Amino acid sequence: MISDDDLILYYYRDGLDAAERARIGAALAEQPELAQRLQRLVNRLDAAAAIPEVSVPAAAQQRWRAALDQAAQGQTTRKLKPTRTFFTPAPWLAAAAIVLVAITAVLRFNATPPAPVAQVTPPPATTPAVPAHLRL
Amino acid sequence: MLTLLKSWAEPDAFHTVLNERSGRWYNACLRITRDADLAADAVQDALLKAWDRRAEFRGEAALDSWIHRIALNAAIDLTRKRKRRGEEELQDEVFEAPQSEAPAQEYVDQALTRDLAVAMQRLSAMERQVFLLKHIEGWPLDEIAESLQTNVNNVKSVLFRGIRKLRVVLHAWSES
Repeated sequence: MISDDDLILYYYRDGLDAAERARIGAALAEQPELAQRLQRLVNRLDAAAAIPEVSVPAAAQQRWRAALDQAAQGQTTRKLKPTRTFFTPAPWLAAAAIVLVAITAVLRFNATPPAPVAQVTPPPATTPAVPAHLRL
Repeated sequence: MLTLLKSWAEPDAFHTVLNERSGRWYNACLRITRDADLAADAVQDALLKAWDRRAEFRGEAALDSWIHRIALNAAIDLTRKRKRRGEEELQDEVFEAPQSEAPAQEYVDQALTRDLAVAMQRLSAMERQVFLLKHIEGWPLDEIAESLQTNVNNVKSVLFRGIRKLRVVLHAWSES
């Protein structure tokens, strides 16, 4: 007995091994009623698949053309992008340099102020600065 | 020869195939998504992906077929994302049959369209996608499994389940 599922796979020429295909092919050749069953099955599937086609909305057509044009334009723009030189560093390098400068500035600004210089009061002038032999 | 090889990579080649084949892509995506906006988004995604990946395109297949396949995968992805968000699908009015000149034939067409819509509504999103990808698009089971992030055995059982549902609804039409 050959199932409808196997007939379907035979019709699609897919999903059956060679031996199974040969067995069904031989049975179809020998049994006209089986061939008719397959034909009825295919007719139903064709009917189910006969979905009427609709026309493409004009707005969709325009949108597709515009998208394609934009993509093609983008490709051109990418091609025209200038190559980097020694004087035009990579963006990440420039950003890193800015961050480094900023960090340095913040650290310097927030650094603890130097300790105040101790006020040393001069000793009282108890002894004259003039040597003794020179005093009057 | 070099010119021929490079011609598909030019915007003009994309515009040409867009003008000629976008209806096919859109309808294929619409069948998968059942949502006009999602189908349009899928086609746009496919065009942009194809443009970005045009260096990978070897020109063995037609540019049309290549974009068609990318569009279907985009439609599946968008449907999956919408499902995750829990949004409702179904826009049956987009599948209305074209007007027929003969009244009797028009009635038959409308009735068939209505029954087809009913049949398709009975399928889950995955059943519908598997059936469409297999029966209309002719994708191999293993590629369907890859696209739907599942395995071949699961694809087979989903396909059989979907077909059984369709056969019940379409029984009268196929016998007539």
